[in-house]
Amino acid sequence: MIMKWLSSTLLVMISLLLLSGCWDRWELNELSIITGMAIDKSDDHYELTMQSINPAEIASQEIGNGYAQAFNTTEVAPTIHESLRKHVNKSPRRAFISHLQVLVISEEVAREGITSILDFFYRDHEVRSDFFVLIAKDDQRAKEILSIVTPLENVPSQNIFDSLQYGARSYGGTRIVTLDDLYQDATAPGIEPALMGVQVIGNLKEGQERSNAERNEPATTLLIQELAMFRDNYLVGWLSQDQSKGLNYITGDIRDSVGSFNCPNNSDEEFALESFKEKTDYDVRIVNNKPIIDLTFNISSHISEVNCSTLDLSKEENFYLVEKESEEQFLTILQDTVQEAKAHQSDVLGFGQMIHRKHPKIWEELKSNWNEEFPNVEVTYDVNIKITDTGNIINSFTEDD
Amino acid sequence: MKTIAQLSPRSYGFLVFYATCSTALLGLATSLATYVHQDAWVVPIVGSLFGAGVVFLYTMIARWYPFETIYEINEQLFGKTIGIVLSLLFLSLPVFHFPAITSYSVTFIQNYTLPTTPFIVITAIGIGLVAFGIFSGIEPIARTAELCFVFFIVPLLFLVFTTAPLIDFGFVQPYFTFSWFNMSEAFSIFLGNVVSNVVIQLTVFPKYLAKKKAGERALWTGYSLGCLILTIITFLSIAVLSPEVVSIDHYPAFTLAQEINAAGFLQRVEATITVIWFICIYFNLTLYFHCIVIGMKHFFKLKSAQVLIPVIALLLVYLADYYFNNIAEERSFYQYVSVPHSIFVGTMLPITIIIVGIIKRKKQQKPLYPPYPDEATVYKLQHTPDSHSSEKI
Repeated sequence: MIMKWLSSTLLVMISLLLLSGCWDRWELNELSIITGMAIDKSDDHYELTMQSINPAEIASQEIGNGYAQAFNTTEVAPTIHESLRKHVNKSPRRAFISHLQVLVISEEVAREGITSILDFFYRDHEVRSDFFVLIAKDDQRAKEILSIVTPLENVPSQNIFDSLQYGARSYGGTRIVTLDDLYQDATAPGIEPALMGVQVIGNLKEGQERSNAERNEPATTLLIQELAMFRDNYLVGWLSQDQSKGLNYITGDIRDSVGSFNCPNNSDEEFALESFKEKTDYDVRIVNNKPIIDLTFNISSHISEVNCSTLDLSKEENFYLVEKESEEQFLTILQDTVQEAKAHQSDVLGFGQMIHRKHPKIWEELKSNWNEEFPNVEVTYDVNIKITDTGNIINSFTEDD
Repeated sequence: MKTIAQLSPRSYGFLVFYATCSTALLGLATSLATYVHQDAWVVPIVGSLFGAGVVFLYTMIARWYPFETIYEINEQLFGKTIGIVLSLLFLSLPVFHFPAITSYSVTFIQNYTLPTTPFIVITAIGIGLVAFGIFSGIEPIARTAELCFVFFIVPLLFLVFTTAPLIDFGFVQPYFTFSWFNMSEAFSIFLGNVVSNVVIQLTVFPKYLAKKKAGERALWTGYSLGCLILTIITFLSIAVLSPEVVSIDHYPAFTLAQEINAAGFLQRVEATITVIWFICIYFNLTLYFHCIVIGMKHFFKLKSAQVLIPVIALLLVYLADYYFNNIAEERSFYQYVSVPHSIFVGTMLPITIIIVGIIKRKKQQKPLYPPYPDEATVYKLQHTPDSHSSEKI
C-alpha cells in the first residue's frame, strides 16, 4: 500500500517536472518577426537595420488601426548578433529571424568584402538559409531600401522577395541567390558570387511616406536590376540588365524569358521572342595545355510580338531567317557578358568550376593565379534558337495584303 | 521457470538497422567531406563492402558459440585472465562511446530546439528513457524497434524523395580526384564510426535469438539497409547542399531536411523529420547500455543486473555532462580516440578471436563454419534448469 502511494507520488512529481513546458518558450506575441535586414557601414562598426512586420496590420481577417505594416530599427554594435539582440531596446518584442526573407548589403560594405558579415548567418541556429542576399546599388544606403512604403506589398522586404522570385520565373533578369548558394559560390574553387542589385527610384523622402502607396503612380519604387560581381569576395563591378540575363543563360539558371531583337531586314524595327525551354551545356577542351570552353545553348521559343513591316512569317524560309538573326544578336549579349566579367577579372560565370569539374589536373595548375588566367580563357559559343510558333496569329496586321 | 529473452528475427533486424545508422545518419557526411570533398559518397559504398567482411567475422564467432555473449566467448576461448582483459577492452567501447554519443545528440537538440535548457536536464531525461528501456528488457526494446519503424521510414522516405529533385550532379564532379591519404583517412572514419559499432551486436546476437539462422539473416539485412541509407543520405547531402557547405556543417542531414519544399506549401518540416535521428540514436544508446549492463553482470557473476541499471544510468548522466568541455575537444575525441579505439575493438578484437579460434578448432577438428543448432535443440538447451545460460538478464 505504501509502495503504491509512493510510486504514484513519484509519478506525479516526475510528470510535473517533465510536462511543465520547456525552458526556451517564446510565445508568438513575445516575438517580433524580422523579415528584412540591411547592413550599412557606420564609422568602424556595421549598422544593422531590422525590419519587423506588424502582424495586426497585415492579417487579412483583422481590421488594423491603419498603422504602418512594418517597423524598422537600426542598431550599431561591433557584431551583428549583438545588434540583433539590441533590437529589443527599441521594440517591445524579441527579434526572431527564422523568417528572414531578404538581406540587403550596402555597396560600400560589399566592396570591403562580404565574408566577415556572413559568418553569423551560417552559425546561428535560428537562421534558415533560404533568404535572398542583395546589394544596395550606387552608394544607396541599405537601410533606405527597407524604408520605402512600396505599393501592393507594403513591406519592402516582402516586395523584394516576391519581385526576385517571380522575376526569375518570367523575365530572367534577376538571379536568385540564397545564403546556401552564396556560400557555395564564395568558397567553391573557380566561381565567384554574383548578387542582385537593388536601388530606390524616385524621391526618397516621398517614398517613405504612407502616401506613396496611396497613389496609382507612386513617387518612389524599388528597382531590382543589375548584378554585382565579386572577386575574392570583394565587390568589383556591375553587370547590366542584359548582361545579367546573359549570365543566367550561361550558368543555366534561367526559366522563361522574353527578349527583343532587331528585324532581319530592318534594324529599326523589332520583334520579341518568348523562350520557354532553355538548356545550356558546357564542355572544356584542352588545346596546347590551355582550356577552351565550349558553350552550347539550346533555346526553344516562340515569336510573341512582331513589329517588322516586311517580314512574312507564313513562309518557312523566313523562320530560319529570324532564327539566324536572333542567334546572332543573342550571341553578342553573351559575348558582352563574358567580356564584362573578364574585364573585372571576376569569374562569376564559373569557368574555373567548369575546368575543375572536367579537367581537375589542368585546374590544379591554373588555380593558384586564376584571377589572372581567367581573362585569357577562350570561349566558343554555339547558339541554337528554335522558333516553333508565332502565337495566335501568323502575320502582323500591319501587313496589307 | 526462468527463460532467456527471445527476440524475433524481424525486430532484431530493425534494431541492427537503427544501430548501424546511429549518429552517422546525422553527421557522417561532414567528416567524410572534410577529407574527400565531392567524392564523399564513395566512402560508404566501399566501406560497407569492406565492412561486410568484418560482419562475416561476427557471424563466424556466433556460429561457434551460439549460446554466449562476447564476454563469455572471451573467457571460454582465452581462459579466465586473458578473457577478462579482453572483455574489459570490449566493455571500454560502450563506456567510452555512450557519453560521447549522448553529448553529441544533446548538443544537437540544444543547438536547434532548446538552446538555453541545461545540458544535464536533456541528458537526464534522455538517459532516463534509455534506462527505462533496459529495465523492461532487451525483448521489449526489440519490439519497440519494430513498432518505431513507421515513424522512422515515413519521414526518412519523405526526406529522400523531396530532396532528390534538388540533386545537382555538378556538385559531385569531378569524380574520384581524392588523394589516397585523405581517402584512407575518410575510410577509417567510416570503419570506426559505422562498421566497428556493429560489434556491440555480439552482446545480443546470437544468445538472445531463438532462431539463430534467421537472426543471422536479420543481422545482414539490418547492416546492409543501414549502410544503404547512409550512402543515400551522404550522396544527397553532397549533391544537394554542395561539398563546401557540407564540410563546414555540423549536422548536414538536418540542413538537408531544411531544404525540403514540396510544392511550396509543405516546408519548414525539419523539426518533424528529427524523429528519425531520435529513433536511431535511442536504439544505439540502448544497445550500448545493454552492453554495459550485461558486462557488469558477467564480471560480478550476478543473477540479475536490474538493480545496477539506475546506478549506471546516474553515472552515465554525470559522465555525459562532464565528458567534453567544448566542441573542439569533442571533435578531437572523435578523430584521435573514437576512430582508432572503435577499429581496435570492433575489428582487431574479432580478428584475434577468429585467429585463436581457428587454431583451437583445427586442433579439436571441429568445423570452422558450423551450422546453427536447430530450434528444438536451442529450446531444449535453454529450458534445462541447470543450463548456465538460462538466467534472464
